[in-house]
Amino acid sequence: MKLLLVEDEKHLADSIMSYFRGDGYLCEWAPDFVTGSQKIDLYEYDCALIDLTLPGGNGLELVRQFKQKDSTAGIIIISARNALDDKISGLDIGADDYLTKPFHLSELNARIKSLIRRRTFQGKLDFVFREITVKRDSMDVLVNGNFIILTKKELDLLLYFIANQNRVLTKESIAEHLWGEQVDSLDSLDFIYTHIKNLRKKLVEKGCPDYIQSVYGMGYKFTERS
Amino acid sequence: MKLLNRTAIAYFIVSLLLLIVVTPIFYLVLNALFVEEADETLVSRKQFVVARLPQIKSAKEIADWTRFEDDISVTSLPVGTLPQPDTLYEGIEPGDEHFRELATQVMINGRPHLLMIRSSMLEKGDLIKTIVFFQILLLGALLLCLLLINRWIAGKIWQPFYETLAKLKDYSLKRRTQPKLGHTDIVEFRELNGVLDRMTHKIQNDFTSLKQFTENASHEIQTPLAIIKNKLEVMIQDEELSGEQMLNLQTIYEATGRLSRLNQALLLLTKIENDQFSTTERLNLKVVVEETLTLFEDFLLAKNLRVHTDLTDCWVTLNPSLARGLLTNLISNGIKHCTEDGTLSLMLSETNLIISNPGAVPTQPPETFFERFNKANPRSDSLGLGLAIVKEICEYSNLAIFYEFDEGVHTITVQFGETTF
Repeated sequence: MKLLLVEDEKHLADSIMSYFRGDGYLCEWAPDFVTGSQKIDLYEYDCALIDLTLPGGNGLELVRQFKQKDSTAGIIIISARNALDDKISGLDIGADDYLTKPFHLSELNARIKSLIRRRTFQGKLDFVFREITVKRDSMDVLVNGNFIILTKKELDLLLYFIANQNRVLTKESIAEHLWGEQVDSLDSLDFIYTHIKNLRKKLVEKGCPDYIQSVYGMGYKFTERS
Repeated sequence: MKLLNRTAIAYFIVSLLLLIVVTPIFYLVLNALFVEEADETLVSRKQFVVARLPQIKSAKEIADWTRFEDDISVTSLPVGTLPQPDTLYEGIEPGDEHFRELATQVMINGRPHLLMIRSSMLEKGDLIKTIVFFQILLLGALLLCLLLINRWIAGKIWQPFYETLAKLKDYSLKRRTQPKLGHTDIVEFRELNGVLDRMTHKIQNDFTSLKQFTENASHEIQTPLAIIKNKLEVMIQDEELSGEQMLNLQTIYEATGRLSRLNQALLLLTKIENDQFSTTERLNLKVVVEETLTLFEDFLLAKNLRVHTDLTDCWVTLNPSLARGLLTNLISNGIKHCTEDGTLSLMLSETNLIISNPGAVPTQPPETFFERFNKANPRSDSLGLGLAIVKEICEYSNLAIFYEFDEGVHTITVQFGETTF
């Protein structure tokens, strides 16, 4: 899986790349507009992360370049600007997603996964983690072939866990992924615990090992216990 | 009190005092003048009479003479009376007639006689009455003129001043339009307008650059925040970390999250102030309320709150993002301060939105609730910006907002004024 990252902030690029290398992605970094443009011309990518404000030009131009090349790459704009206009014009010219800085790497990961999944497998692939399968079309959840009934939030939570398996997910990242920006206006994220607890209970009841591991106060990790 | 009225009253009081002082002086001078005039007349009359006295030869002739002369009386004095100097004095006749009299000793027919010549005078009361009458007339005329002049001045001369005043009253920094102060011939007003022009220009520039600075700063803060956040996210994946290290990282992570939220909220406030939400739409607030409530379903459940709604269709012209921001902040505020197991109540009519929740008695004066960084509980993790954002949105969108606390229930009312048609 090849990923292009066009981002002028070195430290940000470093952490994004080190996060994704762990998942077996091949990451290439372009620190400015010109380098980005050259790389787009020369190579093929599965996914591109493009910052809008770049030294040497506007990231939107790079999105256009991708589209002119008829590239199949999924494009995610990452920008510090949370302006609706930027969002709309970015998506208009063919970007697949728009993420405002600062974002959670796990959120970016989930979006990239879902984008690649849509592009490469035409969305036909089910989500699988060991004995858990989530059907792509119906969103039915099966554990060892048996249906389990999850609420909408529990399903989203499970999919987020599967996308970010073996990684520590912070409570903030989970809350924002599931409930969106309005969690910002709440003081406490304790309510997440209820949903985690319910999901864990339902999975364990059907014979799953307890994959949801609590990581101190930080968050949770969906992993096979060693 | 208006400036012109104040000067008019000052003029009037001074004129009144002046008249009060001047009237007696005026009377005394006038009276002295009359007396002097009368005395001169008497003296010349005496000379005239004395010159003709030698022609009188008998007492009978005296009687005949004085019978026709009203102003002259002659009394014979005993022989041997010592000559006295002439005297001038005033007197009052029966009938309240004032007179001035000259008494002189004369020799008629070789015998001493007292000759008295009288000249009637203007009555004192009449004099005073006349003087006071004219003075009052003068005062009245003066006052009338003063009022007329003031009116004229107010209308003409002060007009540029009032125009400037009206424009300044209408001036708002947030509207970003410089008041256009008109041209005037009067030097003082021209100077005033010039100074005001420069001042508002400077204020406007400062304001704009400050806002611009705040917005840019907020943007710039996002990037280092993103770096910190993402580095932390990478770091916590390390399985070698000890529990203590993890807890430290968690604290850093939470603080960064707080900083990030704070920055977002301030950026939103600045954006509203910078007029970046000027596009409006006709939207049904009922739909926005319902949508927002859906987003908060899980949070309501977590706190075991019931929701009571009474919503009617309510079409308002608002910026959609701001409308959602308003509802999000109002509802999350309601949830935050609602007592456990309580009922959050939302009522929407065509004219207002009322949101109420049972909660603790406020420890701070309600006026401060809408201030930035004001928190009901200083120890909470809350940013204390929710209601400040609500207030900013209301002010920006011309909505009135009220808060009251009654019998354990907090109520916030938003009134849709001019925007609801």
